[in-house]
Amino acid sequence: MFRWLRALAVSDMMYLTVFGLLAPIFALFLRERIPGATLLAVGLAEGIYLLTIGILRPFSQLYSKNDLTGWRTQHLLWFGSFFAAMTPFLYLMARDMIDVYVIQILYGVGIVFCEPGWARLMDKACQYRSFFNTERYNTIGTLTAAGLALIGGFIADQYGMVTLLIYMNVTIVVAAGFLCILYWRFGLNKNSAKA
Amino acid sequence: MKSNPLKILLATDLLIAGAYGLILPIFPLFLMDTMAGATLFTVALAQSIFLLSKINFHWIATNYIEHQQVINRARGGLLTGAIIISLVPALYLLAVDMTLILLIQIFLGLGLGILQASWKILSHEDIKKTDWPTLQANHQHTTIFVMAMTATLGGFTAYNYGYCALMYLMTGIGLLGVLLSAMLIIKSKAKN
Repeated sequence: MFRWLRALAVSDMMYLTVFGLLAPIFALFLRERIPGATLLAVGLAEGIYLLTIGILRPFSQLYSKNDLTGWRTQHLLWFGSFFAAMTPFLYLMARDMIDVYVIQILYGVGIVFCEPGWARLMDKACQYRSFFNTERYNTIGTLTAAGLALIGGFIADQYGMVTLLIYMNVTIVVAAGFLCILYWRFGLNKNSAKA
Repeated sequence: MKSNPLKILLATDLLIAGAYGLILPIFPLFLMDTMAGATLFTVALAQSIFLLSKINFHWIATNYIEHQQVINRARGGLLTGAIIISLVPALYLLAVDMTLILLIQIFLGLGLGILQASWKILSHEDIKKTDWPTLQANHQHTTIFVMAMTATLGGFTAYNYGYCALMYLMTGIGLLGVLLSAMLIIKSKAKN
């Protein structure tokens, strides 16, 4: 049971982080559609996203640290999935770079909120984390990201940026929903009393 | 964090992450602006090829290093990887079309794969006696902050001074990483 669960959890998280790996398409999307998207603005947008992750990650880890039942982590996962799933849709509606900066913050919040849930699922699935296991997961994740980046580039080239963002939106919604279901099924410790 | 090798290792990682982080967000724009035959698909292909190359060479390097003389090979790998990565910006400047860029991406994947494999093995060896989870978490946070700063700095440099200046900056930071890796080897030889 746990083998497929592990693979699904890893590929699911990679779906959620695939935005970062579709950065090529994102930068070109900004230049094409958003007025005032200069090199500086694109770099700043990426910097804001990373800064959000850097600032919020310790808090989300602290919040879910002693969560015996997993309920608190589940709530974080819900909110995080919602923010991450909304991001491509919001990109389509962005009018200027200020909008994009705000969306980048939301996206960073989404990813940070999803991380503890995903980590808990992984811990449940493999019981312990060894060096070799981590390497194997990284390999699966990188291969998934490489494939998705290629598919994203192909869609953007053939059908346009809007189609790509809609495709991203659909995949992210499916992946985020799937991650929430997986967590509800395997991540919660239903035998313990609520913390 | 008392040991010097550990500090050098962490600093090398930060420098390489910083150098790479300078170009990361604006790399596609650089390709579209300067390379003949750059389309959305070829830009994504470049990214995909880099990831595939990195993961393949990572496994090859890990197996090679762990076969025998682990520490010596890992230190050599760290230096080799840092040299390859610091050469890449110069190659970007020399490239004129997307075919060359794809080849350079394979080369970059080779460098990063070797560097990551060596770095992980060395850090596991050096950090055994320290509080690994705390140190690892601190290092991850620092790396993210460094990448956030360098992403903005990269955009600023390219916007105000052009891509050429950005590549020189990347090479400079990469060479600092090479110097630190060389220092690690010299220190370990002196210690032995």
